[in-house]
Amino acid sequence: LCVAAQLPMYADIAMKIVLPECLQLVYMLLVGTFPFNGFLAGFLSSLGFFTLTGCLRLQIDPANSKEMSVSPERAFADYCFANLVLHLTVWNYIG
Amino acid sequence: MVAYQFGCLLKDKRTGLVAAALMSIVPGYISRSVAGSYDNEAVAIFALITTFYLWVRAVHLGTMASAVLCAFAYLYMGASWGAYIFISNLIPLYVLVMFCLSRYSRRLYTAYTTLWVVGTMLAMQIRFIGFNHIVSNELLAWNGIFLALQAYELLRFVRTKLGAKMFTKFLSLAAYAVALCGVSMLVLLVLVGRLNPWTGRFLTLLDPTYAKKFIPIVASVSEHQPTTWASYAFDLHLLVFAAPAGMYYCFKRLTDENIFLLTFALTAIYFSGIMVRLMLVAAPAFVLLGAIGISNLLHAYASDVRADSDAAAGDSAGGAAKEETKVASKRASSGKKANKVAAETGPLPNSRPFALGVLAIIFLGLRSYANHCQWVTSEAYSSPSIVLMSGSGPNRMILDDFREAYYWLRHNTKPDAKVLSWWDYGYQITAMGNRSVIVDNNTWNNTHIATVGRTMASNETEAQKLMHYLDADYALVIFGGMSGYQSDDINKFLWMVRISGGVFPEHISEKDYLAGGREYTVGPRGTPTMLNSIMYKMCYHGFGGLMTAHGQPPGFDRVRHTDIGNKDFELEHLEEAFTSEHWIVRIYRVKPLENRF
Repeated sequence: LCVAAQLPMYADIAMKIVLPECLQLVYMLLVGTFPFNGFLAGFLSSLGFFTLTGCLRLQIDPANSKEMSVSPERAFADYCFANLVLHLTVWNYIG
Repeated sequence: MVAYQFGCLLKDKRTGLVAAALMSIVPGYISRSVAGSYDNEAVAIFALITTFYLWVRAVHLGTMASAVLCAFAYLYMGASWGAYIFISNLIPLYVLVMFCLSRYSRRLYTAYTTLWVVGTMLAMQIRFIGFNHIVSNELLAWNGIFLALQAYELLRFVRTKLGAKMFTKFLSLAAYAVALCGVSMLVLLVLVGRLNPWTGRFLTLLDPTYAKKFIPIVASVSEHQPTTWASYAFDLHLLVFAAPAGMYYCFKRLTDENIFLLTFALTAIYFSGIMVRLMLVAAPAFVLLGAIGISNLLHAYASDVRADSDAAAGDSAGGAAKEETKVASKRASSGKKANKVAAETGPLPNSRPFALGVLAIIFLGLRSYANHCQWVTSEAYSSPSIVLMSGSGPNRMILDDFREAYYWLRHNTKPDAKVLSWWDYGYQITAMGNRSVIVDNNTWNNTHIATVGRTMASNETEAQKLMHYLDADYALVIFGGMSGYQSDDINKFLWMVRISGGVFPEHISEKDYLAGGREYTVGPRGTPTMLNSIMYKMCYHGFGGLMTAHGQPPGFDRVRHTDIGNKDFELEHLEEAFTSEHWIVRIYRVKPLENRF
């Protein structure tokens, strides 16, 4: 598990999610906010995913290891858990 | 239990134990539960502490899972009480404080951003909160700090990519752009009206006099009055003294967790000074601070005792052992640490008697705290307030008027009769009298309550029209003039006037009810508006001929200590239906409108 090699991959993923996020925002601005919960669900799911991936990258980065107290495996497990919760909630909220 | 974990996290196991012990009996918390049942706020405080504990743990560990757990606790909090806003402002405030103290770390970032993401989504599931989480001004800090943290991290990221010089140029440019963007967006949103303004509840907390001026109905609730020192001592007792000690110890050894507790405690103290009800929120803060203080003191002096006894072997060992069992039967692990500390610092000579003295004082303090809590719970927070007791021993008198009157209602009125009374008694009438009420404790419609208030405050002709408009069959008032019962409707009357005056200023004005524009009296000096209002008439009907006290003229009101102004009058549109034994509850039937031809 070569952590250092995965770093740019995570950064890449995080950046790639920004695009659909912005698209959703623009769509909302153009079309209007009804149904608001749908917009929020979609927007927050992409925003959330971006944030969580960013956090994961932070935690895995060996340069940060003196600030963090978790191992990369644990960080990844947490990441999966958090994503699961986030997306379940989003799914419930799309309604 | 949560207090134990929190205490452990904040300091060590000893603090946890003390915190748990103090928390389980602190009156400030028990006040929300009466005789075994509990109010939603008791649950909410549990959720509050759980959220705070999980948050501190999340910052401590910096894992995403702990932040997600914190988000779940936040959801629990949001589902139980509106004070989730306290959490969502305190946590961003804490982030800011950490920033200012240059204790920012990536753990904080991880914890907060994960919490924001999952917490916002979860909180929006609750229909009552709904979209408020994004669009309301009250949660501006919550969202704002999230964006700020992201921006900060982004800038750090950019800095690693660019060189230092280019970065500073970029930074200044970016700062201007962002500030401009942010401010203009905010202004736009407020103008367009998408951003909901701060609600009255929130503003009341920031400015204590707000409610009195603008929302009398919120100000009239007795639990919303400012807190007195007596309430602090009553609810917190020993903790009032132990908390500053705890603060001192927190400052002495600042850690991330301690800083959170300090922020929490300081804000809680400020807010609890505004409303008595918020003592509930301050109680956990006090408990935790007090626990830190007490356990530190105990540790310091117990180690003094033990160190001395180690130095002077033999006879003092017995004394120290006795002290140990008396004060801390649970403190098994402190022995080793105490020895280490003693070896490092070396006890002062002759400190042992002093240390014993301090330990004894602390013990007495804790003992009296436990006693006080027991007494408070049994006297003030457990007695049912529906059956009144006066006197004691052979002179004890039971005033069962409430139940007498409500059961009269239940048995002697039509099943679909509607009762007009002030909202305090709504639930009681509904439950015991089994009749519908016009307004009850949960009525949110301010205009409706104001209409009832206006009815009570008008003269008979006006009142009759209003009562027919409200479709009331009976009117009920609580009157304490004969029995000396303090919280009756005449004492609350001025609030009724204020509330209705807020909604119907052209009909009701508070000045009209105050003699000389200032004095509230029902005596001969009372204003005609006051003496003609049906509240006055309903309370004092037939009272003018009654001798209530020695050496006073008939019609002497024992609560207001004055004899009443208008003693001899007849009611035109109301008819007395029932008066309870000590005249506490009086019920009147509304006569139908006369035939007109």
